Amino acid sequence: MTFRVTAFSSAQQALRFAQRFNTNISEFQQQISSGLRIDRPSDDPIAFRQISSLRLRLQELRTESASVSDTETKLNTSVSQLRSANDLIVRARTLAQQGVQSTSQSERTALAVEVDSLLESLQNIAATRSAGSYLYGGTRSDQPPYEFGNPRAEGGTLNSVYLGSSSNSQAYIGESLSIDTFAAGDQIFGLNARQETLIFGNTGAKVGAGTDNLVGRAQLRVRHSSTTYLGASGIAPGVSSPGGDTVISPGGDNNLVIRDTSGTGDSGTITFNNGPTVLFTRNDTNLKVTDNSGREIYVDTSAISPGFDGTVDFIANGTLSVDGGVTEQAIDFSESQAVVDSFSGRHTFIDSQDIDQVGDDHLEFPGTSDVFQALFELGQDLRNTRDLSNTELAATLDRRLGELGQQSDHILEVVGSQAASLQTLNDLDFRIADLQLEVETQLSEVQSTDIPETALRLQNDQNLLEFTYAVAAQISSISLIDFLR
Amino acid sequence: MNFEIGLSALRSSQFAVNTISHNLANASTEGFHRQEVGFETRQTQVSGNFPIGSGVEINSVRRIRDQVVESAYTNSISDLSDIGQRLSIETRIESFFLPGEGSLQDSLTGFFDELSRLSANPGETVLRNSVVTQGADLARGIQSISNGLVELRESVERQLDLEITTLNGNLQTLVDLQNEISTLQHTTVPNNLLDQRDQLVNSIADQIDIQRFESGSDNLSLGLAGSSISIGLAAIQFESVKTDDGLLQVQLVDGDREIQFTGGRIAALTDSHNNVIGEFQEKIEALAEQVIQQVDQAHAIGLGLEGSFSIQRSTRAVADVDANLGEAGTAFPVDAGELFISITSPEGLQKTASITIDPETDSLRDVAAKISDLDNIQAVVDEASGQLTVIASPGFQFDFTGALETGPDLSGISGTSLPSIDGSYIGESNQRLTIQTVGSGTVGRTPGLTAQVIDSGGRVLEEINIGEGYEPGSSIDLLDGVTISYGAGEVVDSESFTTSLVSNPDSTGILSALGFNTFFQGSNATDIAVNQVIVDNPDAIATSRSGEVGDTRNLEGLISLRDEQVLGNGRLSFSDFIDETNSEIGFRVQSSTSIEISVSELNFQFRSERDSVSGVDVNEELINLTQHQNSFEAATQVLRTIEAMLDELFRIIR
Repeated sequence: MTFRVTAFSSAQQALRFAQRFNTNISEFQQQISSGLRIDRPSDDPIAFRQISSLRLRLQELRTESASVSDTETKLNTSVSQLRSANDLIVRARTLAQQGVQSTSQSERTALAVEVDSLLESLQNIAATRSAGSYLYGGTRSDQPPYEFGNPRAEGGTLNSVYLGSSSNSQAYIGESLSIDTFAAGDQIFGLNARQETLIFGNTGAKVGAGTDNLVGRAQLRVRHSSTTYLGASGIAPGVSSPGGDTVISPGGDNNLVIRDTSGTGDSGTITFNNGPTVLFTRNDTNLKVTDNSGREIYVDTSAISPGFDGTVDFIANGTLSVDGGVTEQAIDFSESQAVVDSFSGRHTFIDSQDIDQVGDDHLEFPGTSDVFQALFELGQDLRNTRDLSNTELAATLDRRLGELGQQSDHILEVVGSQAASLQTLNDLDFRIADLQLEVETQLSEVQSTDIPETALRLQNDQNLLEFTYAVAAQISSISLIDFLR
Repeated sequence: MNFEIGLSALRSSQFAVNTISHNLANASTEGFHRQEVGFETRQTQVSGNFPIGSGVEINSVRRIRDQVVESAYTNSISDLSDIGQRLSIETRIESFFLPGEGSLQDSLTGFFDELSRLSANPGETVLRNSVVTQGADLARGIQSISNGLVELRESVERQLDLEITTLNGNLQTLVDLQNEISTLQHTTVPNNLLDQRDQLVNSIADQIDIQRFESGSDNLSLGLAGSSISIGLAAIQFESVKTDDGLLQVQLVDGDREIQFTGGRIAALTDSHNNVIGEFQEKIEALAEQVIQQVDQAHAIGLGLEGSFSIQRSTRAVADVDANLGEAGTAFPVDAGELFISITSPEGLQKTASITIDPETDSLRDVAAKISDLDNIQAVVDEASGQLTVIASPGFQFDFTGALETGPDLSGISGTSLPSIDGSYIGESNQRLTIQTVGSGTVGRTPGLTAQVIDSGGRVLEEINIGEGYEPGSSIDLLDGVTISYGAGEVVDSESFTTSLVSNPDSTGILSALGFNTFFQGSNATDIAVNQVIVDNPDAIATSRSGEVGDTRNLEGLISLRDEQVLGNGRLSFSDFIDETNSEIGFRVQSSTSIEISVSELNFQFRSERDSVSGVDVNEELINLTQHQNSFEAATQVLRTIEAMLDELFRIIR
């Protein structure tokens, strides 16, 4: 069969191919201009899926990078602040060392003044903010993490109240990495390393059995409450006895010898534990008797049994208090008596069996003070507010030195941990940058136009278009009309 | 001598020249079939026993055409317009999902990116606003695609109506034309009408699939929709109707039988409306529902910066408050499980209690009753609106965080030492623990005093020292991030208390189904939006489980949704799903484009073949013209010769 070619079909053919090449040229132009080989999913669905996945990954990496940057800023600030805190503690240790070596109280007082300023600086560090949030309040980062106040009771430590939370705030980076950002201040500045409680003083109180939970330091007030004389000597507590006697005794361990020399009870002598002999008369209602160690009792001798000559035992009751006398507990002369601080609700166990006189003992709970309390206590000790002897003071300052050393180590541990996190973030940042580059490269390979290839194809289609036009013109120019004359 | 012979030649040539002129005039007319004049020798006459030719006459003017090619061309028109229409619609759908800035994928990624960034600065107002903005972008993106698909579907409906109207008009015209042709064919050959009819048939083929059945030169019948309908002398009319489930179907007017076309624009429009667009509407709907449900469920169990609630009203209504939740028309399905509610006393102590919910047996009213059975909380059903309101007793607050009980029920403890729980539970399953003391004595002092941690199965998980060596009030690790402490005082042997460690406070999904403390409002692709409460106050974004600004525990749950495989039968994340949808429409468009190219080639081929047979070749016509011109000149010469001969005869007579 002969295939007839008409002018109309030639024209249609020319139009068809011209349209096809023009479409291709337009597509190549777009690819070259935009630099993108794929514009819509239908251009290459499989490649598009790859592109989408790579774009998504790239976006994720950019966000991770931003999160890393945000987190790094916080951790950098935190590490820098904690290093400063450590420098302050190191300086405080130096001052403590100087205090140990110093023999001059005025010099120690001067050192204490510097410790005060260190404490103030440390308190400022604890309230450091980053982007408006407190760095050391844990998840409660919108409020100052600490509240400081004077000791609530005499002989107590700085009132340092942690208001933050015990949980760290976490930033989530990528699929699996979580980094602590706002750290819990009590875990940084606190020291949970309770050691055996120390007690020093003259009352005879000892550390009781059981685990205390009082922190820092406290003053153990031992006070007299009442004395009861046993037997039929006729002696009675003097007017000043309640609170005036300085002897505490469960009975049986004191020796009060009364000798009625008049035989009528009108006068005689009294000796307390072989101390100075005191003369009494029937008129004495508040006679002070002391023993060799200076302990005093006040007695009423107005009703001494006539002719009494013998030894009298007595029970001298007392009270214990660790909150400055706000609450007092009767001494039970047991091996472990809990004495509660009414302000904090915390307690200490006291062995009260051997308490034999009133007085103010000092309790220390090593390893329980936070760093602020430790500095406060150092200042107090440098000022020797507890009137310690030089030996005791040196030992106390030595303990402060040790505690500050522990605090310093602990803060350095936190710095180390945060620095490790920073290092992780730093490594992650580099890895993200590498990954970003890799993904961008892959994306470019899949998505970007191969300019030389596309330009060649564009040129090829341009040539073909020209040929199409040329052929169309050539064919339509050949006509029988030209030959009909 | 006979002028007639020459005259017949003259007339025939003239006729042929006219026909050629007509051909040349229509050389570029679409659908024109070239015509060819048929010559026939006139009847011979006998003159003196010898037959003498009497000239020439025209016996036909026929259109040159090939029925097979014509039929193939017509069929290819149906195929081409079918795939062209499909491609046009698919390209529109593809454009909705196009990637790049502002695309759905971009918004989704942006939303989760901002949540991640918020975890580094959870108190930062700018970042909270940014999460709201990205959430709104995501909601708008989903809505925009959904609305686009709805509009596309409506526009397809309108186009189908238009096509049906045009089709009915064409079918009527065809019948009229057929009648005219039938009338004329007895007297003449209605070539132009036949061309018009062919052209009209091709126009109809553009709309529906047809088969041509031609008998003879003039009789034509058409098979429509797989030859199930044939066109005779009476016109048939179609109409489009919408079924109850929103599907379009074409049927004969006054008939209830669906006519299923397989080619042409109408088939493409119907199929695209009922299947293709619907399929992508289902996809965007599935995405929207999962985004809303998953994000809201994770959000509902957290707290914003303002902490727990004194009152909460559900934002998603239930159609029937008395029907079992499985059939009550909840926005999202509710599963059987446990819902934990934490209630905080005015003193700040938290108790966590749970209710069990079974959608097969519990109605919304039952759920309200179960909540109201708990201490210091009440739930009220609003029958008219189908909503549930939960209200805490005055001074109390509640939430759905499944918080650790800082104030557990200690009614079973008579000792003076009170235990308390702290920390953050990081275990993967909910636990009910009983803590029982072993031995009586003073906490922190009595040797051998311990507390046993017993799980709900009676298994002793741990035994912790609370006697000598234990610092009263200090925390001891209990289980998975949870600590316990005993205050100073006495404990009594065998006394215990029970507490819950909650990993998933709502295993039923009822919080998102009813819309408590949600990030989004709305429940589908058309009404999704960021909850107005959060838009007004971004601090309400539930980043924490405690209400503390730096607590990012709930953010972790929200962020983890990015990679959660919740779509495509649990194998696709949100992003994967969007990618798969993009790829799917991409493959469709690519496939349709490829088919269109192939069908277009075929159509061009058939058209070229048709033109090869029926098209006007100018040069060919000019040659024929020259030929007939020559014939005409020859006939003229014959007449001139006869006239000269006659003149000679007349000169003799004169």
